[in-house]
Amino acid sequence: MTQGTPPLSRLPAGKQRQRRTQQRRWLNRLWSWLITLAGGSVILALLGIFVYLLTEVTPLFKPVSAQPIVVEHSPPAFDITPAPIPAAAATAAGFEVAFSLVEPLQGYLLLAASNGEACLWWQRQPEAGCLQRLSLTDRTVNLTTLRWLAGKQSIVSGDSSGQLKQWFFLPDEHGQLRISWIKPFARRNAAIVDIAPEQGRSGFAVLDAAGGVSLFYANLTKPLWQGQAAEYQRATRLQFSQRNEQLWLLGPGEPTALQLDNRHPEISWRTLFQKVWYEGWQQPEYVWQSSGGAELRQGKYSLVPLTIGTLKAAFYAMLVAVPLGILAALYTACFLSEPLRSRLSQLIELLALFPTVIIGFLAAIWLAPALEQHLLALLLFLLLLPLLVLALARLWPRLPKRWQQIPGSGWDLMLLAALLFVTAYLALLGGDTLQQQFFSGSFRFWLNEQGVSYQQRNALVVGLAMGFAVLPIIFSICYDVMSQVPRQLTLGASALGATHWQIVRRVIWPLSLPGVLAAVMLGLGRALGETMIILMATGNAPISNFNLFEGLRSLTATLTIELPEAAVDSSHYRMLFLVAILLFIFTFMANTLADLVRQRLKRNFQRLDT
Amino acid sequence: MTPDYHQRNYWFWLAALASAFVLMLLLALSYLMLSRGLGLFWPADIVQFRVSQNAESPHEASLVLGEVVSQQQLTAPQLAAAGLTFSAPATRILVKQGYQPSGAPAFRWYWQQQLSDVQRPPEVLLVRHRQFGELYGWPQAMSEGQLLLQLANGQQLRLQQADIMLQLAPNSLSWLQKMRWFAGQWWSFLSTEPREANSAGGILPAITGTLLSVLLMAVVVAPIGIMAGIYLHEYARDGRLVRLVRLSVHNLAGVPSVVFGVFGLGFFVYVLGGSIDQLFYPERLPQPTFGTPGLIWVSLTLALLTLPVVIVATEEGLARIPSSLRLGGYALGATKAEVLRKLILPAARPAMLTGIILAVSRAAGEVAPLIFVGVVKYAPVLPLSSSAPYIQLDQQIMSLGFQIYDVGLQSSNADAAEPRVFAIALVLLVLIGVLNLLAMRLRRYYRRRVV
Repeated sequence: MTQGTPPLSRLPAGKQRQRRTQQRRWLNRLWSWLITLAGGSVILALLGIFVYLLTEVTPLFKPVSAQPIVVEHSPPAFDITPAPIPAAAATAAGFEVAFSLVEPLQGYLLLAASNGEACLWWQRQPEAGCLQRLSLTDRTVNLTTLRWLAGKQSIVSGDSSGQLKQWFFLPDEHGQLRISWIKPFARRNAAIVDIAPEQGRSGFAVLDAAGGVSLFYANLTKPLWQGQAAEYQRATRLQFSQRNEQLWLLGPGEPTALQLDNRHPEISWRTLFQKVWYEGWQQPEYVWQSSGGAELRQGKYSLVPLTIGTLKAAFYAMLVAVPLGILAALYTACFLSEPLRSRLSQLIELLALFPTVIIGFLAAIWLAPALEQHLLALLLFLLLLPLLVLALARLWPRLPKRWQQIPGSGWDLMLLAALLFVTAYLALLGGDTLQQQFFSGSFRFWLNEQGVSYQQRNALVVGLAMGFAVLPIIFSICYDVMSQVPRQLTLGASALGATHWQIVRRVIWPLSLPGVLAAVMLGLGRALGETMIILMATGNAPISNFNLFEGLRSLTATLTIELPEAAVDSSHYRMLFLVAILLFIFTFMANTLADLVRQRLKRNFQRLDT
Repeated sequence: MTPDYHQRNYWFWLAALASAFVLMLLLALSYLMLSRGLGLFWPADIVQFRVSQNAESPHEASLVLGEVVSQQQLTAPQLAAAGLTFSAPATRILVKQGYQPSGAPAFRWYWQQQLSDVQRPPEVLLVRHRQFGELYGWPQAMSEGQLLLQLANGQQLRLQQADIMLQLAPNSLSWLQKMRWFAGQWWSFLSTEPREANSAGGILPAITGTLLSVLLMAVVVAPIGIMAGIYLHEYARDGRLVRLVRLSVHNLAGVPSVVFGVFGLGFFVYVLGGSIDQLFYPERLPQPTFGTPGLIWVSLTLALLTLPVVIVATEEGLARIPSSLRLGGYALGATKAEVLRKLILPAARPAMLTGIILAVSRAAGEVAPLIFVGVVKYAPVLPLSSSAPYIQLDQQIMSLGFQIYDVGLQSSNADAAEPRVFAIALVLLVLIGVLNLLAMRLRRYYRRRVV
């Protein structure tokens, strides 16, 4: 404290007050800055999650770039003298062999003449001559290069018209390999001079006579990158460096080189959502196979099977949860009187407390085997339910008046639960008897004989278990909305002579319908993002079908299984981040939509209430 | 409103049945969890019986001792598929035989039709041995710290008393003695470390891991979430942008937890942890210290996951404060900060506490995101130490939820693991239930006080 300002207590009263006020004002301002700073940064950080996820994913879709660089040291010499051709093969072919490729596993030999004529010869059947004769070009142009891609599963041919074609060795019906034409790549402008395969993955570089260099990847017909320069025209040969980071153009004179940035060639929007013909596969397909064949480190990342799995699980879960949740909420909110009503709703909301890992465990250990054994009983139960409803609705009004008065006390629910229990027991007995009598003891075996494949952990199990997990959300929102319908409306309708059911049907239900929709949206969001139940109660095989009795693999389960093993910054790792982003967007949109509907509804109710 | 049961209305009855069905499901689930979870430690009777492989030679029947774990009815095609000729339906029982010197599995199925001479001899002992696990047999002699045990196949084992962890003759126990044994078993389940690849022993590390990570999470999330909530409700101007921000923060609660796990692994572990390592522990590189999954990342991920819950609860608590309180404060000349600190926050405190408790109870049941950031199947050393930081923030932990997933589905010894998982699930449920009960009580107390 400096000399000039005396302590507070010695100041005259007026000044003291002024100083105090100033202090308080400063404190107020400080406090507001502090809160604004802290709160604002927390919210920014939360929104930053999405931004961070995006930054991890964008490198996947970055266009390939190539920069000419100065060659510092010459590339390692590469032995390109072809293996000697057996005399038997040469005579079988009957033409002057210009190109030859050896299939490494079984020893097939592909021989080609410079006019594109080709012959497939097998060392195990030398006397058979050519097993297959074909033309690798359309006979009017000359074949100029023929190369294996890395992994030796597919062949790329180039001709003097600039055509590039991909060929596979595929087994025919006798198990013998045949050369099959797969697809053309985008045509080059001039004759192909050389093709160089990448090391360890299925990309390749193409050099044409006009000095054009282009980079391709086996999955895609379009080039990833192309460039043209006069000095490239001198080159006769291309070669990749060890980690595919540099491409050398070799030939007479000084070699030139390109520095490439091409980390994730196998991923593009097309491979994620369309069928892709992978090397060694019989036809194009949607495949998710992250740790595929070890000899070829080519991940197969199609999001289609995972998306279908997620949708399938969510669909069956909603099929269980939506009717149960809405109907239970309707009954609780509209037909029960006060103490019982809030007690029951609280009880049902208790269901939300069960951690999903417990539900998943029960589904896998207890529900799945039980369903496998008593599937018929479940079907029977579903058949008996409408009968039960019919019987109750018809018979109850005929009961003596005294018995009809039981309701409202809570006993009615107990009674109904007991009735349901009896029905379930009957269904179990009946199902097992039917199974004994007509399906020789096991409905499941019978299904298998009919050609319906049945896996123990299937979509039905997931649907039931996850429906159970989603149910409390749908219930509680529907219940809230239905019990918040303004009272004047129901009372007014009652005063106009509407029966109780008419009020429910004509007043409460239409008013709360948007809320019910919001509840369904929220439930859907939850079902799409559910992880542990799907992980535990399905086989996690990436199957793309909607069969109720087969397993599935969801986006969430894939993340849980594969992320701990993915190498940081690899294509696989970034793909999983993309999966996370998709989940984020799906669920976020579902929730936001639901929220908007609910807010609007709340305003409406407030307007109606005043 | 009272129900009109006299109506002949199908929809009404369908709705009534639906609520009854949900009620029934809840009861069934609770019953299943309680009976299976509590049943694990109840001393079952040890049964002795003879098994004849074929009916013609009953004298060759071998003797079996063990606990009946479950039974199953098989139908005709199942029997035919197994190549058996019993008349359907045939019943088989799963018997826990304990350690077999021959190397036979501890659990085995027997056909009811093959059993004969079923007894429950009172003198049969259940012995839990440090190496062999559980043994069933007749005590032959007890001398100077040794126990001679005769097994069902007639073999005699000499066991050191020091290796014997427990011994019990369940068939001769009274109900009260069984009760005491039951309580003791539960206590040891809760307070010891797991053995034999998580298929025996206790779950202390898992409980500690769950509690510690959740507590740390609460310490992180409470101030941050409350401040963000206060900002959103009190200080942010109510424009279009703020409404949008509020909407998206609320909806973050619905984003799948596994997405937060992905973020936790990518950002916390690799980016943040990697930078910490480079700044503070460069001498240990390339061995990572914080750049690998661990307790602190588990807690931070959980905090991120539950942040929206706390923010929403805080905002709701603030919104519930009657405006008269606020206006009264201003009327007396208080500044905004003073009104907030002296009037509003104390009144809203229970709501915030409720939010934090709900966040904790949600976090306690999470599994999927934690697999990425530091929860592992086996980490018996507690992340606690007696010196300076007291908590090993970089250590990997076990958690109850992950134990359920791992022991339940990935265990090699499924028969032994299954009942344990029910017990673990029960512990987790009780934990979550208690937390929620607390939250509910608080909310009720608070509502009464404010109104």
